[in-house]
Amino acid sequence: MSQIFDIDPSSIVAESSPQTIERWDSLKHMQLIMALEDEFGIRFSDDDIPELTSFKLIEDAINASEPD
Amino acid sequence: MRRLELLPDVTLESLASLVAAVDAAENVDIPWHGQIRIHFLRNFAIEPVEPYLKYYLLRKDLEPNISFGGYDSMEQEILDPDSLLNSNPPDIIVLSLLIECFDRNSTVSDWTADRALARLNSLVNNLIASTSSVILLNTMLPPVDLMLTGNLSAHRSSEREKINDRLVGLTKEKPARVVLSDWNHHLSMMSTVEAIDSRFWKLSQAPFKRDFLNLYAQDIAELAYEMGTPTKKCLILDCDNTLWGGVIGEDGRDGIHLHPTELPGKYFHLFQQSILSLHERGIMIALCSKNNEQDVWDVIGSHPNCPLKKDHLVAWRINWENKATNIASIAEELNIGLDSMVFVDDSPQECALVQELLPEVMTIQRPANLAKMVGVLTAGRLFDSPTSSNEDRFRTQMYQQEAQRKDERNKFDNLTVYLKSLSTETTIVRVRDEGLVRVAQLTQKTNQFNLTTRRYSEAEIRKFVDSPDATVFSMSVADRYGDMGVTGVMIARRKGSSAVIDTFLLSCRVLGRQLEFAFIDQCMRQIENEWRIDSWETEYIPTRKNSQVSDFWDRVGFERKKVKSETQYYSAGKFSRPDEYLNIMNVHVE
Repeated sequence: MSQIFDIDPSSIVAESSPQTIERWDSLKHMQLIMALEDEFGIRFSDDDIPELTSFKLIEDAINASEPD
Repeated sequence: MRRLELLPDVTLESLASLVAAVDAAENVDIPWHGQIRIHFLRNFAIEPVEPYLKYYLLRKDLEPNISFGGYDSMEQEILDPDSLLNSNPPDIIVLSLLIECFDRNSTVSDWTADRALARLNSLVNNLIASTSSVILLNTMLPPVDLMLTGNLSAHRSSEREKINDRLVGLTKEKPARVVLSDWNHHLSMMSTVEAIDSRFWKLSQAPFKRDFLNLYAQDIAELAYEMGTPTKKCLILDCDNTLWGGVIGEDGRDGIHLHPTELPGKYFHLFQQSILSLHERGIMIALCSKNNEQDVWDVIGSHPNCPLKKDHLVAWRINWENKATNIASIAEELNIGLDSMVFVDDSPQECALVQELLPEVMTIQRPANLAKMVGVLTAGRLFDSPTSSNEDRFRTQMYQQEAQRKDERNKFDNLTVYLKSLSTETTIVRVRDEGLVRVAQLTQKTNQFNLTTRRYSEAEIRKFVDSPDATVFSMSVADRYGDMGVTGVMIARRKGSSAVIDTFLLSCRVLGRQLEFAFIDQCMRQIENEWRIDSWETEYIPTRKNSQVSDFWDRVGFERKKVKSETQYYSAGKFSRPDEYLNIMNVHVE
């Protein structure tokens, strides 16, 4: 998240979301998802992607998923 | 350290590492070799290509200045004197087009390409005439949805080929101005699933994945390399074994080799003549030699076979100092950038030194093979100025200056003529059950033309629809290029004898066409009639994305009452609003 949004990693908390991170718009959201898929070797579904709107939600989704 | 080292091949493999590496390379304190300004005119989300493009540009120390135009408003951008395109002219215009957005009938089974062909011809010719940028076009792919479902037809393919053939024709007619990126070829290098991500296509209209974007980025970057290297203005020459064979200080005037017909002197003679032809073209010639000054002037100006004279020189540093310091000193004296200099020396050590200490200078070691020496300054397009090798561009620059002298009114007229030619039909409908889902979706996704950015779920929209004291309108737009569907939402609530506009938004695809005025006007008239209200209230709530509408309510005729916590509050009584928009579109209200 720190790299895609160009922010300090220490500023990211569980509630970090598009409302609290200025740069987090729909295109950056897409980049974030792509980067996460690269990093963790997983693939989110169509329905999941719009729901991943906070650090906590993303963390939960990654933990719940299985690698490709 | 060089920028190239910050961007090894492996960074391309993961998006996060690419974004981070590109960021670091852009901000590191290493001099640039040039700058390249690239503007995308597009009808879909091609922003994801940016990190890949920057990667290739940065590796060559080209400073990237990249921008993206509005969605599907290419013609308007060209005509609007205040657009980013016109206020900050780019070196390269990348026209990124998907056929399904360019001609919305292209997914239909009996589609013919003539509409799209006409539009494309007009668009490209317009760009050629009113800018001096080089234009990069892409070949048309089949519509993405049809590629994903494997629903390709021979008829549509052959129609599409007409467009692609025309694109090739354009590059042949105007090789200096139009370049082609072959998307069909790129697509053929991979499977459809490797090229296209159906999820991001559906969610953000951004279909392409890494492998495809990478190839596209390479095409754009190659064009940039050709254009981005700044023109070289000054040639700095070593003397011994570069301008003549031998060392003047040791061999004396009679011992050096410099002769119009005898070898090896003939090669040096020819080399000097190629230098003179550069001089004639306006390139500055300077010397940087480790010698006693007098020895050099014994040849230049005194030797019978020396074409080069002191008069041809703008500066010289003939001493025993470090050559890099000398060259930098020449740059300062002539007041030119190091990156506009070319240095030629026969000594590998001197070349390595200058290359290391002054990387912006283009250092060329004189070839060991004397026969190759002659062409070294004219090979490649080292000293070509942008206009001398591009007649077309030069003529276009003249045209552009001419066009700029025409008054603003002319440009406005052209815009109106263009907008009329679209044959826009707009339908404004009170939302009930149908269209509810789309309306909710628009409130969630629309960021730019959104006055209050209130996000609503389907259930919440339904509440508005069902309430006797609230109303929801939607706007659908169609034009000669197809049907864009629902692209505007207005929500209003009754408050006594007042109406409050809760939400007013338009999809970015339909901006720049006065549809916002048509929509607000028609909705307000309807509500005034039905609810018999006599005043209006509304707000503008600023966000990072919607600053373009900060004065919309003012322009519509509302009065700004107050500002509190950055929100601007407006009110208006009943009044008649201008309806010039009727000149350029047909409006239906249901």
